[in-house]
Amino acid sequence: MNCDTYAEWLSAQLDGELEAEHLTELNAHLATCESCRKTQRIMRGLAAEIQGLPRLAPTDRSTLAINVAIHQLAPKPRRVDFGPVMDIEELAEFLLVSLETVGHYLDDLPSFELGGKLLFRRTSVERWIESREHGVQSVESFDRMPAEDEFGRITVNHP
Amino acid sequence: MTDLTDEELMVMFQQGNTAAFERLFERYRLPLFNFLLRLLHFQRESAEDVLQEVFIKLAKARELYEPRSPFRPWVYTIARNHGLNHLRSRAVASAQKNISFDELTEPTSDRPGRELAGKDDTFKAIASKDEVGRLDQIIDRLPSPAKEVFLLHAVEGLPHEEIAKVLDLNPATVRTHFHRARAQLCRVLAQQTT
Repeated sequence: MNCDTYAEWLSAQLDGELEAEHLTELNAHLATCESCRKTQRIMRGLAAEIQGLPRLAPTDRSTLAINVAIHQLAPKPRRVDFGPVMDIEELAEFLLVSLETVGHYLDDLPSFELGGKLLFRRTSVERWIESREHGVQSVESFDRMPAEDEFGRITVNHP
Repeated sequence: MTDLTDEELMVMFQQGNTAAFERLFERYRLPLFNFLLRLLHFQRESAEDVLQEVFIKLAKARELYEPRSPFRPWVYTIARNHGLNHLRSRAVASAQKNISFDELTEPTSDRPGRELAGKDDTFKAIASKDEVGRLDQIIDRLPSPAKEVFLLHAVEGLPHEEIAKVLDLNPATVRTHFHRARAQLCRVLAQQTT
């Protein structure tokens, strides 16, 4: 056994983790070894010395760069406040799909044109969703629904 | 928001609450920076770069966070991995100067003729030499993973069980590393004060 091992035992003893069978041997060694008694004294004061270690801060520039990155990478909160009429981007958000997917179903989705812009009535889209739901009986077949006319010049777009 | 746990804040961030993540950044900015600073031999610029990498990684990997798992070991695991990767890439960059990864990460006391004075390369980029005191210089020479265990437990206050998760070791091995590190540290301090 050498002083390196006894120093490890001193550390374990300080934390109450030294096995009882080693304690007698450690005390016997401490009685004869000035070097290990000194190590023990230093170890007892180490926690206080560690408390005094400098705590440095990252620069303001670095902190700012991280804050900017956080905002750039932040997930967009899910939108729930859709109005009665949606454009195609809002529809994609409403349906939780990509614009490409909306494009794929465009002939099937209830829509109308106004001022050259393709628009979607939320209630019509909700009925369209209902008609596609498994196990749900539609109140009315979507294909037979009348076109909406409260927005002026409406082009019925569904088949 | 100050009363919320780290885990609750991370879940809020997963749901889109950026302020929750800002709060986590405020909580961990100083502890992680100081851990990285010591892991990276007081290279301030490197520690700042890695700190940024860590928070970008956390933000990008938010979906990977399991709400029931403790946040602190997860964030320190990411910090340690990025820190060690940084040291490895520095070792590659220093290859032409014949400074190996081992030399960048292992204690100089194992290498005759390269005592602390010879570590000027390592310490040249610190903010101020006065900031690296005698105790920090000795901690810096501890071998890995004893150095990380010592920093995480004695300096940052993580319990052995959390450190075991960070280092992927069992808690008994972490305790062994810690006692070895503290013993080595105190033996050197004892020799220096003779």
